[in-house]
Amino acid sequence: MPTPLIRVNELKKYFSTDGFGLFSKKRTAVKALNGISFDIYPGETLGIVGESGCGKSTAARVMLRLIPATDGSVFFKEDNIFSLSTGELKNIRKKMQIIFQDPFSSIDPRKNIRKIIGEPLSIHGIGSRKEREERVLSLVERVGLHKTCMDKYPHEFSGGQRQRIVIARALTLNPELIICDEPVSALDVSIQAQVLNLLKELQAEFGLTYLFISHDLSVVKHISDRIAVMYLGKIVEIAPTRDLFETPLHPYAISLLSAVPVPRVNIKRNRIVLTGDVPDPRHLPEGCAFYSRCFKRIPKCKTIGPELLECDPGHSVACHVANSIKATQ
Amino acid sequence: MSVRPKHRFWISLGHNKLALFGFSILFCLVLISLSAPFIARFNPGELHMLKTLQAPDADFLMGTDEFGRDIFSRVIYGTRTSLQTSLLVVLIAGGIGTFLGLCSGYFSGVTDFIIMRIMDGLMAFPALLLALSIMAAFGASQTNLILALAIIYIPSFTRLTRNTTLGIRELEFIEASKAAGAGSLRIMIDHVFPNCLSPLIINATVILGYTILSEAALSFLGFGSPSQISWGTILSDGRDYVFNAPWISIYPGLAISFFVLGTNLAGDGLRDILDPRMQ
Amino acid sequence: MKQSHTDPLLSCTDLSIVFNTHEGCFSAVRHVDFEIGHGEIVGLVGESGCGKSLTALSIMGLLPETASAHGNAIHFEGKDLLNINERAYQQIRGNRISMIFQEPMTSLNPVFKVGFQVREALLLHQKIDKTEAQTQAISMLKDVGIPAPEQAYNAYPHELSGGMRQRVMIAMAMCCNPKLLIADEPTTALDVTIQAQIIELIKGLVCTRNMSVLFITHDLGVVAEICDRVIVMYAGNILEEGSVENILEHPLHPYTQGLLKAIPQIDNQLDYLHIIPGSVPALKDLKDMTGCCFEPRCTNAMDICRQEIPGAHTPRDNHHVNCHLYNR
Repeated sequence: MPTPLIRVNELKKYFSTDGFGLFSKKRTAVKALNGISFDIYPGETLGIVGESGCGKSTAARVMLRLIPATDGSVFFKEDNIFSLSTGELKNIRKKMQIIFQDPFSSIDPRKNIRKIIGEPLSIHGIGSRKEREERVLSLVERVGLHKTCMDKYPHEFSGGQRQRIVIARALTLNPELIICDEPVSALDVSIQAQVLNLLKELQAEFGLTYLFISHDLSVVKHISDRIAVMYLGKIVEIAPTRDLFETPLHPYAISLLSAVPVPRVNIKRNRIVLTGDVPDPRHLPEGCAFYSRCFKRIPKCKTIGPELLECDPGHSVACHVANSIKATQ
Repeated sequence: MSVRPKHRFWISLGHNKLALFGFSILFCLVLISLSAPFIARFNPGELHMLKTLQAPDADFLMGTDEFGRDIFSRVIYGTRTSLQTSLLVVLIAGGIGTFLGLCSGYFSGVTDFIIMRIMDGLMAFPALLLALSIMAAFGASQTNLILALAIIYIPSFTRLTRNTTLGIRELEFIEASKAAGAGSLRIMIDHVFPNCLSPLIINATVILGYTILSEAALSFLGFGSPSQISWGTILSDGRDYVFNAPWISIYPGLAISFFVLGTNLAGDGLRDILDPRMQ
Repeated sequence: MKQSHTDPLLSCTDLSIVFNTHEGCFSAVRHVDFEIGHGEIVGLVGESGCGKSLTALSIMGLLPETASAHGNAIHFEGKDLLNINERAYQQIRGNRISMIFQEPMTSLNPVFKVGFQVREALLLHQKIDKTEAQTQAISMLKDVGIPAPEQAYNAYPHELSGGMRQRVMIAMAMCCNPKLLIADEPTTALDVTIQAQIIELIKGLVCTRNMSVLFITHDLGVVAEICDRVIVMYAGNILEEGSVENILEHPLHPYTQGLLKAIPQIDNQLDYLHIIPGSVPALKDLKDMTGCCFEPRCTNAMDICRQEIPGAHTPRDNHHVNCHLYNR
């Protein structure tokens, strides 16, 4: 087993919901991340899947130290990202980049493409003007845009084209890891396919490692080698893609998979429609967070939170009844 | 052929008649102030003791005051002072206010708290009283007038910039810059500030109008600097002669109205042009 | 799958929607014909810019000011919706035809309680008093599956989750028992598990109230779950139309085929997805096109495709396609 590129350990992020309130006695915290741990290996794509409020986007931002973590650690190779100085952090930032979901707000509307893609080079003072120009040009062409784009402004491009610009910008500093936070969710299906193919090509060509975050299971399945399923700030299951889809063990993962609409008519599906809503993230229950909606729960689940335990090579689940589910498959 | 945001601005301006009118007024006033020596027939301080308090006629297009000075020439020369004053006020207030607003909005927390409380303090005073106190304490000169007025209008710019910054700060391209290693100062100057420009420019045109009125009010109350010729001082001079020589106050009053009309129309037009297109 | 043997509930013939801007007139929807039968769920599918939302808005008479609808007729319950005035439209909206939108947070007024808004919808169209309206509103909230409907009645929109808000929207839309529900991407902003619940809810309501639904979406998976028939739109034109089985299992138009292949499928694994090259043409470019609007991106394009707009063909029962490939 090669050494991981990224090691995340018991990462926690709590958002306090009260500001300067003089009269509020209760300080409730939204536990966006409630202790997640995982590794990412060089060259692989780890997918993170979950619904809104599960903490996946928060995880991305905390890992890059864009927002401060409440607890836990994130190691990039041998460095603990949270204990780096500002200068060291700036240096590490060259190796870890991020692509966002909304192609309309992730680039500065007042800058032309040349400046946008070249900004990372300018921030780190890399290369002469001519060298930067060449680098930007090569990136623009690599992502499938024409070189006349360089002088244009964001509003002149479609969503798919802007997303390519964002990808080009992420590649500027030759990063090792790219975190993709819902990069295709806002795109039409036909454009989505183009961008996903591009991401795959770039990974093969540059040896990139991806952390791919999405709520769309089909997309995540297509691009990931391993997948982690998150629910309310915790990882409930993590497994190689094929194993997750063939033998999901966590009840939430099972219902998630069964709920995904598939554009086929003549297939029999065992749809599990969950009852009830997601619990209030400010008042998480004591035991398993999925208890209120779980169709496999036992009394133990209400009071004791399950640990993420490996039950098959590379396949870990956080569920008290995982073994019995496994037995029935 | 890519249309840069700046070019689109001029094209849209062409479509908006009112804004065009507003800008034309301002442009004319600037021209007048620049070519004052050529337009004015007389020296503004020149006395014509035989023709005091005369109604407008062929020689004295806007009449004369109690010292026989040509009102028309005085208004023309006054354009310079008034425009200069209001421009300086807006630049100083805008510069300081924008900087404070950027810091306040971007850093939040204690910085925001302190800056906003100072602004609250400034805004708690009735504007003119504050200016009066400053003038009274430090003397009535044109410089002090400009500084006093600038202080009054700083909070307007600070609040505006702060609120705009709060919105921009949450946009993803700011996070992307951070992720690329950019520091706070760089982000503020390079990304946040340019995106604040639209509302700032609009606010500036509005404040230009307010400044003229405040300056006129201060002069009218006798706190203008006596050696300067501005629309406000001319208006003030005519205070005692409102019934028998109203032209002394009417014409500078009209000039002020024109200017405010121009800035308001230009400001409205700018808002229409800049905001929706930027979406 | 339901076959309607009687007159359709809604019949739209030769509908075009034009935008009037100071740069000229642009057709966003061109010569579109379709029908919705009684008790039928029809899916209107397409990517952004295809005109599906505009088509829905034109049925409701809610087009933006710069747009205008032209055409032969939109027949609904004996009236031609293209030729009625605003007053007559107000009798129809919320009453005979209702619409729900994608973002329940912005469709609900944040400063009024949820129950108040549902009640409003009732009071607008029925001659009942406030107490009766409240009772009906609470009953409606219960019908759409909101637990503790009395509590929800007194809640503000921001206090409810996305799924709950969408249910409230549906309650508001249903309260006057409309014959036609237009749902514009109602589940796109919702999580997958909530989406499944909403789909089940709509299916249930269709059964119990003999209502028809025009379900607008870009998600072909959702179409498979809920629709009886599907209409595929692209750049303002209808390219293909038929039963959901025909469209999804035996697509005929190259665009539909390409779309289905471009979707990552849960049950098969490809290294690279099939892509449809290029992108949707801008309205300005469409204006100059003489032939099929999909021709620039079509891998099966022939010369005739550039010259003539394809006519409609019916290669099999309940399956129509506008494509030169099927010219006899």
